[in-house]
Amino acid sequence: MSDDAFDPRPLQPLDDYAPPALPTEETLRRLVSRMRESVSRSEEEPFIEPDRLRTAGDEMLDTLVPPPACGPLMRELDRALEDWAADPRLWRRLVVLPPCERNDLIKGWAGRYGHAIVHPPLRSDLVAADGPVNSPLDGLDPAGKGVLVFPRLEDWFLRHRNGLAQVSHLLDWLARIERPYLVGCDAWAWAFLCKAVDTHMVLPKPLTPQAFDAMMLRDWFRELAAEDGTLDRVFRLTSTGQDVFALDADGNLESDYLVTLAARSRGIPWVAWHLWRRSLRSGLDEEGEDVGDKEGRIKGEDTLWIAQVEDASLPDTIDRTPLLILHALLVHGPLDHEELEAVLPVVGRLAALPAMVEAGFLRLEDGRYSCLASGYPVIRTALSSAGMPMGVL
Amino acid sequence: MAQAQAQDADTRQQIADAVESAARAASDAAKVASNAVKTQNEEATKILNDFAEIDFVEIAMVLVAAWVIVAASKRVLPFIAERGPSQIRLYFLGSVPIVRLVVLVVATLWIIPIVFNITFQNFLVIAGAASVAIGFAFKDFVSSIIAGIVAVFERPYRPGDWVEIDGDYGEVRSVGLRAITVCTPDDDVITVPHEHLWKKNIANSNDGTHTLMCVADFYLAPDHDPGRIRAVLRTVALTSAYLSYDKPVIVVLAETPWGTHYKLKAYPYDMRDQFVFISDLTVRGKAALREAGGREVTATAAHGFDA
Repeated sequence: MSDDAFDPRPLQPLDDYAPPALPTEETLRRLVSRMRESVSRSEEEPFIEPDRLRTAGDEMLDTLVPPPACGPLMRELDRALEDWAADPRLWRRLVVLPPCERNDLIKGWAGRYGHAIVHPPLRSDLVAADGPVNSPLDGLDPAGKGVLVFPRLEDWFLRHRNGLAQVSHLLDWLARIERPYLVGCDAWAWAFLCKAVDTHMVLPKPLTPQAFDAMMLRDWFRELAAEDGTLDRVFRLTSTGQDVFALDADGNLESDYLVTLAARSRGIPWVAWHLWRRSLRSGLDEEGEDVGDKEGRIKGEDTLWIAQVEDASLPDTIDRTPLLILHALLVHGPLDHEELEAVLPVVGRLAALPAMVEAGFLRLEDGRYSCLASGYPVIRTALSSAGMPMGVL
Repeated sequence: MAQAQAQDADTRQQIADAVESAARAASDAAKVASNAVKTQNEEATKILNDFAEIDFVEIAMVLVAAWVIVAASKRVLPFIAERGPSQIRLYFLGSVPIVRLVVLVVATLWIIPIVFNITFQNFLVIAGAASVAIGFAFKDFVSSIIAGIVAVFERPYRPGDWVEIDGDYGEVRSVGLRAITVCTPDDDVITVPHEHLWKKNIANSNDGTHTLMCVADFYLAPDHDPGRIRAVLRTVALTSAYLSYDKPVIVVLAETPWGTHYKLKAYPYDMRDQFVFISDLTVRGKAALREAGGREVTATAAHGFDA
């Protein structure tokens, strides 16, 4: 592990966010490979046939890649917020987080440090026709002491004709108060709110965590998989047999796998975490024997294999309903069926939902649908190709 | 003295010889020039090359290659445009007529010297004959073709654009040599000759961009709060799932004899969604107006007022 890999990095202005890029060589290789595959099947033999390997079970994954999916980011947030503690003026801040964040980072931080958390209105109160009712701001003292934390601005609105009253009321209130506050917001909700209610005028200069590059991912995944600080396992690619954590003499990664993973996840740690977990395979076959050892290719090491996982495809429909559903869920976060119907212009049933859950794009939990972080790269590409308004990260 | 006279006589004789020699040379040159002009005239009046000299195989190969390239571009470029990212769709669609024009020009310039004996005189002869033929028989056809060439450079419409020509509104599906095909919202395909370029107004709603302004109309009885209605309609557009974030939302109103006319103007992120976008604005706008105390007036009331 490099010495300064986990030195918490400061938050940066949102406009400065630079997602890691795919190496040019990798981009060309993918292009050529895709063209070749479309013409004929590749005759290259993989180092280990991934079909022979067992998928790593939840228990194994929780040992090798334990949650939460945002470990180093929590430390970075702690560091930034500690810096602000010295100057109350710095607390009038907005932190924009990448999409599919399900760890309640800011709420968790506020809880740990004992700051007052302002909970969002009930969903049913968001679409009241007569303006904001039962506003959570009603009992708050605008001139009081202590930091107010609004962990998820996306929970303050619905993209409905009556759904902007609460967030507009909140922004007006924040513009008037002198009390320190911290607002958290999802990157896709932020893009929508800037258009709908000019949020960037009230909360200018948003901050965001820095992107996770390949070396950051390497150090993080090594740390997660290590026991007592030492890593005695090797993570190899099924395609080439390369050790994905190995460094060359110049200190660069020998394999492009983590570079590609960082680029695909756009530097978002929880997206990379989910993709990493999804690609891991146990070194044992169905009979419980070590495949590498059995074939005489890998001897005397505890090997975990990383398989190339094919991206899922969106359900094949003639209309844009699946894309509209995904976009709505990225803008709002988790929504139930009725809320989805309220924010979508779909005529008739939302028949695509079960297919999208089955395909691995959505998760249905407690009656609410949300986008899976592991599907985010494909979702983002699909929405971008369709020309839909994009989130800022 | 006598010696000097003899020298003068020699000099005169030499001059006389030189003059005679020059006159002979001039006469020869005139004969050669005359022959050359005669030959040239004979060649110039020959419009077509000798039949035996024309390479028909080469002509056939050029024609086949041109046809293959044009046919392929008409299929491949729209195929890529419809399946690729929407940001590049219009570039691919718009390149079809340009590719065809370039190929046809190159093929024509390639074939003409093989078939015709190109001289200035022949050019005048051919142009004169063609002018008579075109003037009597193919005037409209040629006018459309020339307008089509002008359209490639002037770009009043491109494949993928939404245009209104002579009362017909629709998406330009293809730009041909003589005409364009427009697909209307009711899925009718209309063929419109380029010739309209000379005489008719052509309204292009997106002009090569990826979006266009959509307008939803609402007519309200005058007894309402216009400030609130404007705000409500603006929110209706801002909360549409089809809205483009990069363009403004505008609500304008005007008093008419039968009520207040509101126009909600906004842009969808993809112009192909324009009709569902307007429907979405209309459906949600009507509900929002009812909640805000607005009362819509009907066409019957409007007609009654007019009467």
